[in-house]
Amino acid sequence: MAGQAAPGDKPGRLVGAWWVPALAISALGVYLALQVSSTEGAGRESLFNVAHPWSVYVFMSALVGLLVYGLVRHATLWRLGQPTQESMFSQVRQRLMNLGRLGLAQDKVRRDRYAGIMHWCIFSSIVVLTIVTAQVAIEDDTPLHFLEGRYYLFFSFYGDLFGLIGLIGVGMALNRRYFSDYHRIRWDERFEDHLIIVGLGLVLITGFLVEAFRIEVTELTQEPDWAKWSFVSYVLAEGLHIFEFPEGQVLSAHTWSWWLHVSLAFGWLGLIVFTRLDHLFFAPVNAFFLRTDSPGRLSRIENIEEREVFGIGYVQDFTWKQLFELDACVRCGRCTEVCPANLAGQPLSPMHLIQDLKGHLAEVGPDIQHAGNVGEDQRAVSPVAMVGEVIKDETLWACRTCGACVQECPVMIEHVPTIVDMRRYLVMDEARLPQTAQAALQNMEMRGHPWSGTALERTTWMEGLGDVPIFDGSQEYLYWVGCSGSLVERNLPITQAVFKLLTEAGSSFGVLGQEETCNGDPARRLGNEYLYQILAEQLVETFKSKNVQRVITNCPHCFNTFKNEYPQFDGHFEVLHHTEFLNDRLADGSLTATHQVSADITYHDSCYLGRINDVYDAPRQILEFVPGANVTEMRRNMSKGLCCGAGGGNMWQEEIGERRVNHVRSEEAIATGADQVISNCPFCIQMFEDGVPAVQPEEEGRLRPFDVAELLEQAVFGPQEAAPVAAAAEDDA
Amino acid sequence: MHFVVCAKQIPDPETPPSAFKIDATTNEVIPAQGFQPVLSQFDGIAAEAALRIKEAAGDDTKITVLSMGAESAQAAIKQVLAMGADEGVLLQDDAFEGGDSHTTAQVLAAAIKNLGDVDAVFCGRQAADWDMGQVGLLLAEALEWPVAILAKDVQIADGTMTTTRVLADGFETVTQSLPAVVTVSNEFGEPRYPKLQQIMQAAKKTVTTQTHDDLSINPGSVGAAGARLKLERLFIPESDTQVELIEGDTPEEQAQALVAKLQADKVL
Amino acid sequence: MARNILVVGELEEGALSSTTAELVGQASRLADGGQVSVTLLGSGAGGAASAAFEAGADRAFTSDDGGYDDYNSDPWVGAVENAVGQASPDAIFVAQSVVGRDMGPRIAARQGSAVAMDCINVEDDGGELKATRPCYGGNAQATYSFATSPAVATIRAKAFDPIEPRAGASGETVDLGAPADSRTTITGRELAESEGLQIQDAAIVVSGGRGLGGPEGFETVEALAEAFGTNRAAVGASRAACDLGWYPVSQQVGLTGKVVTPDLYVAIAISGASQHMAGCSGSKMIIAVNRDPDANIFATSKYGIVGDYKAVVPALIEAVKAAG
Repeated sequence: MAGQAAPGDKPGRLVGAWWVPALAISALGVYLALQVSSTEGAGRESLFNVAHPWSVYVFMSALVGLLVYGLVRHATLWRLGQPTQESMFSQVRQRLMNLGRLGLAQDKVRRDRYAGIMHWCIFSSIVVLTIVTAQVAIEDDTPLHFLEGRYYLFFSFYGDLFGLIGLIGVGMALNRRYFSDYHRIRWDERFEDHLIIVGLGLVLITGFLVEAFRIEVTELTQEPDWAKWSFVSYVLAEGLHIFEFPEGQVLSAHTWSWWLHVSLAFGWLGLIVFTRLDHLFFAPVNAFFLRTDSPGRLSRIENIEEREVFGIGYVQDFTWKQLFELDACVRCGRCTEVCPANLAGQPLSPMHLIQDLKGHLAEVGPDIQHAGNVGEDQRAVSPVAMVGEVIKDETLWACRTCGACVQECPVMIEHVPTIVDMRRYLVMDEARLPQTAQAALQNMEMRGHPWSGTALERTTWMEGLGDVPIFDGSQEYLYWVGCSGSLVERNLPITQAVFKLLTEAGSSFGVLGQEETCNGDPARRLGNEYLYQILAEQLVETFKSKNVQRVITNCPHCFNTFKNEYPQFDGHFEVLHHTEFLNDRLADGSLTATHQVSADITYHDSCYLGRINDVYDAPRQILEFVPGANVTEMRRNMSKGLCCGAGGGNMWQEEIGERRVNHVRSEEAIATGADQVISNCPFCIQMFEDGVPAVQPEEEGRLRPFDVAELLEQAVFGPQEAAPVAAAAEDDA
Repeated sequence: MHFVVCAKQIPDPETPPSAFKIDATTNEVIPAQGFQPVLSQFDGIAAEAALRIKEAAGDDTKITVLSMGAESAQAAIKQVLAMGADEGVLLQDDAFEGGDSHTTAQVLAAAIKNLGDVDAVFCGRQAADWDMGQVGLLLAEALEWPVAILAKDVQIADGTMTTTRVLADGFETVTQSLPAVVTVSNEFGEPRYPKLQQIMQAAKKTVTTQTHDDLSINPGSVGAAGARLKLERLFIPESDTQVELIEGDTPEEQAQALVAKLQADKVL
Repeated sequence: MARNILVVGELEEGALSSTTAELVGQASRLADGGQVSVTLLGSGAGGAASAAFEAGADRAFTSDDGGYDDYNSDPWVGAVENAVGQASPDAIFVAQSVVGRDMGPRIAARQGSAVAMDCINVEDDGGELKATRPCYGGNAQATYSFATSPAVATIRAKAFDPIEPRAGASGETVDLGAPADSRTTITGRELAESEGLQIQDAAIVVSGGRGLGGPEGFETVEALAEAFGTNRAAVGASRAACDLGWYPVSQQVGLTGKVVTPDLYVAIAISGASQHMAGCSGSKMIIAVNRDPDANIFATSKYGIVGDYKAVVPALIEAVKAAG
């Protein structure tokens, strides 16, 4: 079990798996066409039985005009936004890769299997049928003639094939929309959704009818062997033939259906301008614009001390990329479906947040633009406050910054930075924040850690461990214990376990002890970028002055901050989470886990180690080293893992809503039947310590949370040597 | 109107007991490593009360922060300035050191008289170091102003201060004519979180420093020389109880054993 | 050395308050031949004077005027100043109460002397009065002497035992007259909704903390208090629990809540941070139930049970009921 990867997690595949059957079917068609001998002279009058076919170009011009209009209209709104920090045209190679993998190959769409098949059916059908139609136009209106002979038959075949594939896709879509229980795609259902799917179905059906009428009066009697290549229309034509309509009527029906088909097709394409069909263009472009750095990094506010506005409280303060993203949203609901806050009935739905911002931009954008043109105050335009009214405070506070929404979004929207930007406005510009978050921030300011009221010191965990080496620059690694690892009772055994294992492995390391201070992560995620920068700059200085090169962290949040965010402050260190380091030591034999630890366990991926930093394997490999550990994965695991509820500063906030996130996740862990839930993050452990008893009131047989290091400690030193794990601290300051 | 908020910087009251040390020779708290002195939390609440009245009045009410202490107390003053106070005065003088509540009140009273036109003085219910809760009262006596202590609500309008005070078994609402002193209790609510822009502005503000000369105080009447209360000994109380953990195979056994002990000790 | 001591007395529903009796008792122990006086103001003062004499007072300054019933700073201070002028005390004791918190510093200021607030002990040390009081949120204690006279101290309830009542004792009674004008007008009083016993008066306080895990945990705590008897047990809560909204702030025990000094303090799922202990360390006995054997609360407890309160407290309820 351990080390097993969930499907679809490996990046780097340019072409998605669904293209394989498409290519196979096409190849089969080519092969069959070559095998058929009696194809000499196959072909047809390209615009058979249609008067004034040139009017199609009128439609087309209208469509192009409409598309240009739509684009300009959108672009006017995007232009209200600010420049991006990172150039959108650097790292072009990686961006083109993203365009191909995430945009064209739709890697993320396939994270939902059913939707992946459905979307591929519709997408490939539209692409192929557009090519089919274009070929007809070229055949008819240019001197080029190629729709003849074997190619014509093959052309007939794949035209029908992809028409059929498109209909299958439409069928699957209809099934989800009208016959599934309240599916996520209906959480924000609009009239256009019916129009798009029914419209596409009609376009495809009328296309087949046109073909069928034509075949009935031409090929069916003249060249039945050719007709069979258009296998769907052929069957339809055969069906029509039974009624023996007079030829005049069939010709007339052909004409009518042709015009109907053409009108529907162009009408449907026109929907691109007015509906979420615009994702056809925006999604791949947004894939190109996707950040090329780590998703664990939030933007740095430059020259913060010279600014007058710090966060984003007005829609025009977003970057144009953030505004562009809003247009890419297709309301599929995938983000909301995986959002931990939403799962617990708390007031956040990432999809609605994006849609609300989009609606707000559409509503006030033109007036803001006008105000800018005539030199009026753009900030006075909006009659409603974006932060507070359009997006409620509690919505922003409910975010765990776990990145599940970003991970799932098929059109590459990055919700988390947008949410944090608005938190920055709440905290720094408005000073409007929950009391508990305020206490944590003030504590960081005053005491350099967020654990207001702790009775512990940063050195308490060292008691009874003999000489704990203090880092002086001569050791290879700095073991960074972190505030939670030293100031929260429950986590002391974890810190001690890591310490003992590092020592046992003969590693060269030291700790900072009293000199540790918060690295600022909670401040940044709670929206106090100013405090974060002060803390980060101080700590980078400390690290440099002590000649720190390599850091081992207890906590995935410290890990992410050092690894992904400190480079913004010229702090470049090699950063390892303790699970990575310990796994390497097990692999190279400096640690041996010999003691039997018979336990049924389940493994919980912390968001900041797993999803955000892609470390899924190292902790699972450690579990494989532990003799007797029997691992059962939870329903949601790896990149689809569910947050414990503590992320994004929610460790220090009161939760608002029906349930608490840690209760939801505890239930999932309990459902595996395991007796221990193993994680790698002090926050996760605390959330389980708190959540499990609420779900399992009986103490007997209750699931117990431990860190990977605590489990490994048992396996390396034996259960006697390892310190018993204290119960959760009951803190009453 | 012109309000004064008295702010005191104190050793961090959240210093964990294990890090809380006393120098027995000087009877002083040894600053714990990693713990900076902080604004006494009740003074932050007093500032909040003054700010709310200023905001409600919507006029050009001025708030001056007064702090008696060392140079480091600038930080406490800046904190209140960041919350929205207008001016800060640090009362710093070697002659002020080593005093008691009485001498502190004398210095503050002199500074308030020096400001001239003060309508109300806001103090915390007590400083979170010595926990005495008397400077506000002594200040009122020195100024000969009325005082209301332990306020959970304060309103000021038309020359009258209306205070809701916390009693042992309820609340009482009282009115007094200005000028007056009020000490604000934690029931009032939490102090605000300053906006970053205000923090930046506060950082740029200069805090005036005043000495006994500025206040025309006889140095022999304040500080250690003027103190009426002499600290003989400051110590960490020793816990004389050695806990007896009640063992037992079941909670029922433990409970019965405990009740038997309580009966033997005649507590039950 | 003989010293005159004046106790600023308080009445509870027209009778001498128990704290006043304690202060008078300690005053008589420290008087060393000096005179112990007491002031009693408000309806019932005359009657309470005889109780004060039995409790150790030699002289009572009284006024039965109902104008004193609701404590108002200026008239009370005026009346007590009047008594001070006549009794020339070397020390003045006031309870650390609504009265004492306000009056202690004011009397001291007017007498040109100093006050030690919230004392847990006032003793004679080689002829000198010394007052000891907790400070630094309960982390430390400080002992003071007085450079000026009279020494004023506000003293916690139950810091001292009353003396054995001197049956039939009597003394001189001096009338303090009607209350003077006040700069403070009391416009309203609102008593907190209190069901039964006040937490400060209870002989047993059962308190719950954050470790209860939720407001429903207080049902168990309340059930234990009920088992002890509603006439002598009340329920308290830690600040953490009150901040979370699990229990009314009126029941908060701690530095910024109520200071309680019961015979028995039962701490359920309370870690025992010093801020909390500042509110209950004066209890005669503390016992604790906590999951964490290292919890700070055990450091000041006489007895403790390590375990989940959900299992232990119901068992305790049964055992208490069985014990009657």
